[in-house]
Amino acid sequence: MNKKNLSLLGLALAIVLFFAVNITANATLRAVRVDLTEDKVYTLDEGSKAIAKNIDEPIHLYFYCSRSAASDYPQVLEYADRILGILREYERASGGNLELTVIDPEPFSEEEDRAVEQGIQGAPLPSGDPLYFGLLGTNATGAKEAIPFFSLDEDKQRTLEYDLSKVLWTLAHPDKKKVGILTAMPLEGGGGNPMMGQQGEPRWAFLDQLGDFFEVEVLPGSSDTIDASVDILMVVHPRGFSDATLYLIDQWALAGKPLLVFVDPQCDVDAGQSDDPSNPMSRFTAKKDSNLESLFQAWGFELAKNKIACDKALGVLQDVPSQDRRTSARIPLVFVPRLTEKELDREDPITRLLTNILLWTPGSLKQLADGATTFTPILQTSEESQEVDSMQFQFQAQPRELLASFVPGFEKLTLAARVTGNVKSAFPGGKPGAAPEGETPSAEGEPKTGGLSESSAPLNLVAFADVDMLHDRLWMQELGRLPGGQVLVKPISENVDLLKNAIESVSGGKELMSIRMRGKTSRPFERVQEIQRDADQRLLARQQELERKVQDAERRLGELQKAKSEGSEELVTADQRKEREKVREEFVQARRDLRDVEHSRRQDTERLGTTLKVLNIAIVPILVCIVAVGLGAARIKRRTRK
Amino acid sequence: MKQTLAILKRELGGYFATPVAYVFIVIFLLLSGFFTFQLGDFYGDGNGQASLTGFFNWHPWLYLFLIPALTMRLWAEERKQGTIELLMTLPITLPQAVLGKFLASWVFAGVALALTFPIWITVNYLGDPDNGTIVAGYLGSLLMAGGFLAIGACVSAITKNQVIAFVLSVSLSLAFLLTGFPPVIALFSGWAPQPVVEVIASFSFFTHFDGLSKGLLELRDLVFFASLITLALFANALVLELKKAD
Repeated sequence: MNKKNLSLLGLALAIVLFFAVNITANATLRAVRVDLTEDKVYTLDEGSKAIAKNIDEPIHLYFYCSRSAASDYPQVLEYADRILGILREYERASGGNLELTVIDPEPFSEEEDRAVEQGIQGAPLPSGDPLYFGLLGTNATGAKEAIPFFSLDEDKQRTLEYDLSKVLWTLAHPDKKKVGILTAMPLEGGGGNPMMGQQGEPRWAFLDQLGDFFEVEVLPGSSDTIDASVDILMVVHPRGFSDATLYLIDQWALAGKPLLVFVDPQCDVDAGQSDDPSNPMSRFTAKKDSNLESLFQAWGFELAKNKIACDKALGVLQDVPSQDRRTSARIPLVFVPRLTEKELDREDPITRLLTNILLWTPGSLKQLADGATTFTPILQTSEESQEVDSMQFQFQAQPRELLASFVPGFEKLTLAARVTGNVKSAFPGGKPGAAPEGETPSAEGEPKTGGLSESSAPLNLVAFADVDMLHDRLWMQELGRLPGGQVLVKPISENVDLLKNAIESVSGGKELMSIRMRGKTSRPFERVQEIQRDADQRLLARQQELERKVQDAERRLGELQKAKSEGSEELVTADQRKEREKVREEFVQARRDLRDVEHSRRQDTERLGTTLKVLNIAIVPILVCIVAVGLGAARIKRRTRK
Repeated sequence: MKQTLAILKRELGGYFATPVAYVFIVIFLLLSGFFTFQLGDFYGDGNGQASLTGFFNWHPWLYLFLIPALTMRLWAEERKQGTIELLMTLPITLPQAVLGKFLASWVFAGVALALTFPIWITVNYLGDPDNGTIVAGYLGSLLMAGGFLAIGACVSAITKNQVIAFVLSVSLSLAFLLTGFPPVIALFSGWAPQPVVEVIASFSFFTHFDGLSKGLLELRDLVFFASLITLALFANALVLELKKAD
């Protein structure tokens, strides 16, 4: 064999080796990797590891992925690989109790039928084949949990681990959780007084909605024990709760058990508590607020007292008649904010997928300056918000007056928050009334009743500053009733989904909670936002003034138009015509000025964009050119000198 | 090693002695800036995201045309001008020369890549990017540049004609890009069995650069780039050996 042939053989061998090494590496080295992201988005979280480790009964996961159908879509395959990588991590962490099967359902196969039957969704591809890309989990008791389809949306991809951990957690804890609702409201209906001709309230429909997912029990506000079977405590409108009941809540919170609290500075669906029930006028002065002041204090936050969080930008639009009832105008009800995705925390699993939350006279929650807990707002107003005294809502809210006197505070108010951390009891002396005088107290410093004096596990609380949101009128429309009495409802907001998510989230235990905290999905240009805020603040007054001018001119034009149509054209005097011209000119001018303001608002941002573009595209090339020319000149000089 | 370093130094000095280096750097920077800001709409009226994904996404395409332009003269010129014989008379082995030349071009590409630093400063000025992901992106880009360079160097050794070297390098590099490109995969998936199609896709620069540009460094990506560079340089040396024998 000559040298040439030997070389060619060597080359052929090298090529074969190259392919062999890479095919082997692709198949075997998938797990060997370094996660370089700051948030460690590709590394299994400690919480997830703990969930996998604590699986006692065998769980089987079926990962459905139509690899052959998806072969034209590398992004699907790549995401599938990542999911598979993470699932294998769970498998490894579980110590053998988690079994993973990967299924590629061929079209028209038995496997495909089974996938559809189990709730895995097929997305039709242009080729006509369905793409199955979902997960099904089953446990020893036959319970099922599924992710019907893994969304390729980048935001959803970042929460992948939470979704997977939730499936595992739910399968590992298959019992239906029990929600105990401690409340002063007649949630189960009734409460009417037939003697007074009052009809009872119907049962609140959210209870039935929850019933599909949880076991629900309403506990009266006067309860002095909470049954041990209750897993999640939900406190709704705690108006007039006794110290004994508050102590129950306090102890519950100190044990780190799942807790949701709904308080309200003005609960409109509450008939109220009046000082003198025999006086029919007293219902106008009846107290409709609720608070857990002493407990909140211990938990590091407060409900702003007698303040309603109003919002001009989010207020639901409604036709409101003028005072003389002759005209009506469509204006925002500043006390009925409809929150969209901008006002909902996109990181928190409770709110991250919701876009439509409707509230009614909500309050605002504030972290105390010396609060030691972690207070994370999950529902907020926009920056066009204002705290309005709740006295204005005692009788009947006046939308026009509220709007006219509205002064935005340029500050987002917190309407709901997640609170966690270690706290002290709001009852440092132990159970109220538990140690009557004369009884010998137990050892020094010990709580007299054996209760907790500080957290044995971190607080696991989500607090909402609105109670009305749970009432039927803020989330549903009744479509009719089935013969069995079941109500058909059409949701008008996602308030109940919010509640469901909140219950699931707090009951998920600290493992699931810890997963929630990571993964920054959105990284906006904060610098630009700052500039825009500055411009907004600077120009807001001018803009409002111009808007008022435009509205004013429009109104006057309307009046003139009306005068014209009422009288005949000949009767319109020259003065009136001149007036009309003048108003029209003012209108046009104000509109033009408004556009200018709008333009100058964007100017700073645009200028920054242009500067950065020029700096990035041109500055280094120019410097390189200067260096090149300089070096070239030096070289020529050197050469000529030689 | 010492000899390799000597070649590296000589080559690197050579780059900066001619306008080629400066033209390459300037064009690379102008294009990457232009693509990122104009075509990729990085700033997006201020609504953009503080991430360099839109910047790194252009790199495979930039390298596809710019790196063959850099490597086409690597061996072709030496052969055309006959300096290759001179090189062979030096007390160095062929593999050392091949490695030295390749490393010099890689260092040079690294310098060009490093000069894109204003975009890193910009994105940190504008927001709070994940700098770990950015580091991984730069690492991935550098590795990918190494792959392109090795292919280009090998092709340059085959021919004396620089234009042919350029066209061949672009074509071969394009093949290594397109194997991970959906329309090309579709071409194969019509007749080839599924695992084969996946194997084909796994030989694409895209497949291995993608994970890195998202902040995930996988051993198989390193294996791919390292084995590709090794294969190309081995072939490079082999071709030179054969030509010498001619």
